[in-house]
Amino acid sequence: MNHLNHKGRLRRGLSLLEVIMCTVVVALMLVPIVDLIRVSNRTLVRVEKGSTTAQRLQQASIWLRDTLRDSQIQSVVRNNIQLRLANGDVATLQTNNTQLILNTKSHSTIVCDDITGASWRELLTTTPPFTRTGVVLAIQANDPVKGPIEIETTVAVGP
Amino acid sequence: MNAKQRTGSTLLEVAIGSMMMAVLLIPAIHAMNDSDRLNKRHDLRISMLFAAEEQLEKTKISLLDPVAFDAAYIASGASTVQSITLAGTSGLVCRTQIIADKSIGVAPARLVTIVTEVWQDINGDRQYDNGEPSERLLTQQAKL
Repeated sequence: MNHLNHKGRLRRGLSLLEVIMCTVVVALMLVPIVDLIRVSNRTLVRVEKGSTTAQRLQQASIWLRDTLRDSQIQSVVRNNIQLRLANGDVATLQTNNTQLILNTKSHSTIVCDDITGASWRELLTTTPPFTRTGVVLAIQANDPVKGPIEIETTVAVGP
Repeated sequence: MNAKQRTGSTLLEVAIGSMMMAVLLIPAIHAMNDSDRLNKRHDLRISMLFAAEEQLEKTKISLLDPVAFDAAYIASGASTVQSITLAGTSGLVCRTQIIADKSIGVAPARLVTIVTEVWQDINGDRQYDNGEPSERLLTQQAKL
């Protein structure tokens, strides 16, 4: 703004009131901007982190549960589970270092990656002829924050 | 403005314009917060469904024993409440109820409905309260 001072000369600049008003307006403007930055940072961290280890194991367990439910289990031994898939293919569920893999004649499916172990056991009836009633699967992995975690899944394979 | 026509905006105009833009950002913050909240709720619901299905499977296995099935059929409506330990999610409680279904009257066939309800027990009273996130699954099992 231009003002005439007491000597009648033109003075260029802003009045104190204008500066104060601008400062207030800028401060008010900064509040939602800072909030937006905070929220966007939180979202970014969440997206970059991806799904947690627990969620990853949970998703693999859900997939396994659905697959086993739709299949016919042929054998459950210490190293693998043999099953006949719904499409008739024979498949083997086994671990390979840090991966849980479902192998068929034609292809391999990585069920879960970055695991520290996987185990399974069959559940049998308590009375003869001790038929198989279910399978319990456990997948273990290391979470960078929570340490070692395990997700257990039970699948009923009754008659 | 001086006598010479000056082009451009004053500091005050720029500040007011910026403030208006900042005000427009407020709904964007709300949208992002809502998205974050919904994401967390979705994760929780997935975990609750996982836990409910796990409980359903365990109950189905236990009912494959004919003696256990008959006992559950006779004690129709009895429910069990238990805490669920699930990595990544805390405070889940599950209630499983087995209800005799008398709709098939062909003896000795018997049918039961298994109802599993999982909720996040926020206040820790092991009872479902309004507002606590929950999921409910049910299935039926027959003994022929």
